[in-house]
Amino acid sequence: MKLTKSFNRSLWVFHLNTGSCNGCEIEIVATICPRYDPERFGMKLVGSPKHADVLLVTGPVTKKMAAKARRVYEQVPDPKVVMCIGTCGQSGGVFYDSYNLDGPIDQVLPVDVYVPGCPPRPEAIIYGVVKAQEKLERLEAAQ
Amino acid sequence: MNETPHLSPQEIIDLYKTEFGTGIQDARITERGEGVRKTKGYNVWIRVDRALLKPAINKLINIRFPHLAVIAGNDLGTEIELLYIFSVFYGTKFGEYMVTIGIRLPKTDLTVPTITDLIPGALISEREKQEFFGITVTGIPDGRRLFIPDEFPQGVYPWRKDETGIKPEMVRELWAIGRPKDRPAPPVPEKKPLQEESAAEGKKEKMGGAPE
Amino acid sequence: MDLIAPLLTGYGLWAPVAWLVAFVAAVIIVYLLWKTGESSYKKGTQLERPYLSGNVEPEKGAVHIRASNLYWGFLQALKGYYDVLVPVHTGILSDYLIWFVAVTALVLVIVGVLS
Repeated sequence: MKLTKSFNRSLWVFHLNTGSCNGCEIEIVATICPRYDPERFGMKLVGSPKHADVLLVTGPVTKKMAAKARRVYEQVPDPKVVMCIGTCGQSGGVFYDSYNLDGPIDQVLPVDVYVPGCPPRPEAIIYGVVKAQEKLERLEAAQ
Repeated sequence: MNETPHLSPQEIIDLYKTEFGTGIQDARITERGEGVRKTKGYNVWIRVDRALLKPAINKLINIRFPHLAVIAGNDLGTEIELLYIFSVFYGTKFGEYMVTIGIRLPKTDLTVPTITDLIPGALISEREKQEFFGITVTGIPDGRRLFIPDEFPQGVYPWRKDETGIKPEMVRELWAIGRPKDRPAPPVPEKKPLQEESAAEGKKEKMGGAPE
Repeated sequence: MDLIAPLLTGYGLWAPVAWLVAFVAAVIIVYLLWKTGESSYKKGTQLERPYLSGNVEPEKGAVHIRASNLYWGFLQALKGYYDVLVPVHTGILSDYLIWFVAVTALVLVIVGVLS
C-alpha cells in the first residue's frame, strides 16, 4: 500500500450510515463543528467515497445495508482507514440480540480503529483519529 | 381562512363526547410540567371503536388540521392497539398539544381502514404497521414491505408477542461474535507502555512539589 | 516559413504537415496529463463503478433513453387518433380484407357517381 502525501496532511472523511439511530452522526457533526474545529487541519466531510481517505462507519449493519456497505468500502480508493464509531457496530450496542442485523461491522468490512461509546464524545472520536494516524505511522515505519 | 380558535384539551374532549357519545370508550387528559418553569403540557387520549376511526379523525381535521406524528402499535395479547398520535394547534406559543386517537383490533379480525385519503403521509406508518404486526389496512394504495428485507419469511411479524413473533433461532447475538479470525489482531505491535517514564516523572513532580 | 505559408493564405486549412505537427503536440500534452494520474488502482473492482449510494449500477440498457422516446410529444398530441386506430388493427386477416373490400367499393361508388 503506497501511502500518499495526503496522509501527512489533511484527511478527507466519508461517513457511511448502516442503519444507525443517528446519535453517532450527530456526534460526528459535532466534531466537525467549530468548537473542536478539525477543519483547521483540512479535515472535511466529502460527499463521495471516491474522494475519501477515511471511512467512518456508524450503526449496526442491517441486512439491507450489508451489501451496500461492502460496495461503498470497495469504492474508497487505497490507501484508506476504516473507523467504526459507536458500539452498535462493535458488539451490537442496544441491538445486541436482533433478528435483522448482519453482525458487527468487522464481519462485513475490515476495521482499523474502533471508537466505542453510545454515542462517543467528540473528544473520543478525535482520539480515534489520532490513533488512526499513529497506526499509519507504524505501518509506514514497518514498510 | 377562518379557523376555529384555540381550544383547550377539555373542550376537545367535550366536542368528541357530544358528537360520538357512546362510541368513545375512554377519554382522559394527562398533564405534565415542562422545563424549569413547569409550563403545562397536555396529552389528550381518546379511545374509540374501530368504525369511528375515520369520523374521529375527520372531526380533528375540521377543528384544526393536525400533524400526524406516528401511528403507534402495541400487542395486548388478544388485541392489537393502534394509537394515531396527532398534534394540533401548532403555531401558538405553548399552545400545541398531542391528541391520540386509539383503536383496538381483535386478533380474530385484524383489519383497519386506511386514512391516506385524509392524510396522504400516513402511508409510511401504515405500511410499517402492516409488515410488523400483520394487520391488513384496507384500501392502502401501496402495500409493499417497507423496512423489512424481502427475504424475511412471510408469516413472521416481529412486533407481536405471540407465536407469530420472532423465534429464538432467528435472533443473532452480535456480542457473542468475537473479532474476525482471518486478520491479525492488531497487525502491528503496539507501543510499549510508558511505565518507566511516568514513574520517573512522578518522582520529579514529588520533588518539585516539596515545600520550598 | 513555407510550412505555415498555406495557413496564412486563409485557404490552407488542409495543409497536412501543419495538421501532423498539431496532432503530435496534442498527443504529447495528453500523455503528460495522463502520466500525472494514479496508476495503482485495481482494475475490474468496484473502484471503477460509479457511486450510487452503494446500490448496484443497473445495466446500460435499462437506463438509456431510447431514440423512440424522442417523439413522445407527437404521440401524446395525437393520442385520440391512436386510441381509435390501434384497436382497429386486430391482426385478423379477414378483418383487413373486409376493410379493403369496403373501401374499394366506396371508392368505386364515388368515382361512378362523380363521372
